[in-house]
Amino acid sequence: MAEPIIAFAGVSKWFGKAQVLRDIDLAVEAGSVVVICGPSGSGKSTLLRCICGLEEAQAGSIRVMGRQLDAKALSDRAFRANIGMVFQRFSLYPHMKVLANLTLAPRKVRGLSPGAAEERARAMLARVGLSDKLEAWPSQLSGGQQQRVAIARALVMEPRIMLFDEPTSALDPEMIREVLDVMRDLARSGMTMAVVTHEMGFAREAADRVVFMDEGRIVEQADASAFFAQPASERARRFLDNILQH
Amino acid sequence: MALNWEVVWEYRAALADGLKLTLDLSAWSLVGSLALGTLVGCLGALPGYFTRRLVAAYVELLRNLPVVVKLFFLYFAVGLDAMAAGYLALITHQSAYVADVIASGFRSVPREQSEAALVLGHSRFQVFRHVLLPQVFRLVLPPLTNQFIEVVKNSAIVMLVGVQELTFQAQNIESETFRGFEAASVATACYVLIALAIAGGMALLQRRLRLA
Ligand SMILES: Nc1ncnc2c1ncn2[C@@H]1O[C@H](COP(=O)(O)OP(=O)(O)OP(=O)(O)O)[C@@H](O)[C@H]1O
Ligand SMILES: [Mg+2]
Repeated sequence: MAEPIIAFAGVSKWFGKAQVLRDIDLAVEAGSVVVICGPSGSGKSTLLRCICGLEEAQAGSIRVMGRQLDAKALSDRAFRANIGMVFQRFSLYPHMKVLANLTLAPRKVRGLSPGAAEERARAMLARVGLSDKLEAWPSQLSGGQQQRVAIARALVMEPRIMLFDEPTSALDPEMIREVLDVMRDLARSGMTMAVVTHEMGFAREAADRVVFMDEGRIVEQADASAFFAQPASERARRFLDNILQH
Repeated sequence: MALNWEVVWEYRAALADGLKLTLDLSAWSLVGSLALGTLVGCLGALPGYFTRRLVAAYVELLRNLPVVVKLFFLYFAVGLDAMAAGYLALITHQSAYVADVIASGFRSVPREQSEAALVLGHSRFQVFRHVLLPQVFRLVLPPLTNQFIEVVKNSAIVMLVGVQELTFQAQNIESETFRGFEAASVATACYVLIALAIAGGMALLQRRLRLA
């Protein structure tokens, strides 16, 4: 079997004295979708941020795309650019139009010509269904559209892994669907995805694996079908009940 | 009491000299406090607890000392000449306010923007240059307008160490001719015009940037 594209082994992380990741073991196969869920403060965001290098773990080993995430890998910007990330909100550059938001990184990081960068930007905007918003300012877009632009901006870099940290939790209900649709398409296209979300409908449909975290630990990880049929742990069961009632 | 504007005309050369000194002091102090304040403000925006504390201390200390105290310290204690003490007092005083404006400009840009840019592979310098700076620049223009006008107003204190700028000349006319009202009116008009010029220039700059 091929090496997993993301592999955590015994990873721990502290903020000051507080331990927020405890001995995390996790393997994500290339092309698979893993949904990470768990109560607030359980370390989901921190886990994602360790994958893209926004945080560094203090113990254990993290391998991404076959490479140890050490200081050397983290300072290799071309390598890091193979990982895309979508945040909850506020991540578009408000002083640039959509086109400029999408072309900045290809030009400055990948060294593409403006023409080539624009071509890619157009293609990715079409992919998220926003071809007509090329010349719009971020402030002129709805929350859902902003999130789709953020996804397109990450895709322009042709990443091999996409991370999503609660991409729909700041959205009004009527906009959640359009973002999840884009994510579903992306999952079907074979993108490796790690998604922190409370959208259990999406998880049920699109996830291959589900990881349930609590207090910095992975309490349970299972194939999505097994997890939703019946979580093994009492805590995950209670968490699911709570979420599904809302 | 009849007004006598001829006095002003008689003293036009002295008033012009005073105005020139005021403009000179204001312009260089403005540039100096902008440069120093921007530098300190940018340091304050860097990650790292230590630099942030240091910048906060700089801002607190220099803001809480009246500008006159700085002037007297530099002139009497350090022994700088009057103009040098004037420039330095005005620059250090206003730089603390400018630094605060700049640092809070940086703080007001949501962290997600910088993080998204870093994940996209940008260097820290690129994030600063393309994501933060253009936004901070636009954000700080209105508060900086007030800071610049403050520099001009504060420049009058250098008369206390004998620099013959605009306010000094106005007072001199009053003491020599007892035509204080006329002299003060002219000085006031000059200060108002300078403030209007600054506000107008900054408004123009803002409009330009919004279109860009
Ligand atoms: N930069 C930081 N400095 C100090 N503590 C932090 C920092 N970031 C996160 N924490 C703490 O680490 C713990 C885990 O945070 P994390 O954001 O990973 O949780 P989460 O599962 O994503 O929660 P949520 O569902 O609320 O987003 C929390 O207790 C949080 O307060
Ligand atoms: Mg989180």
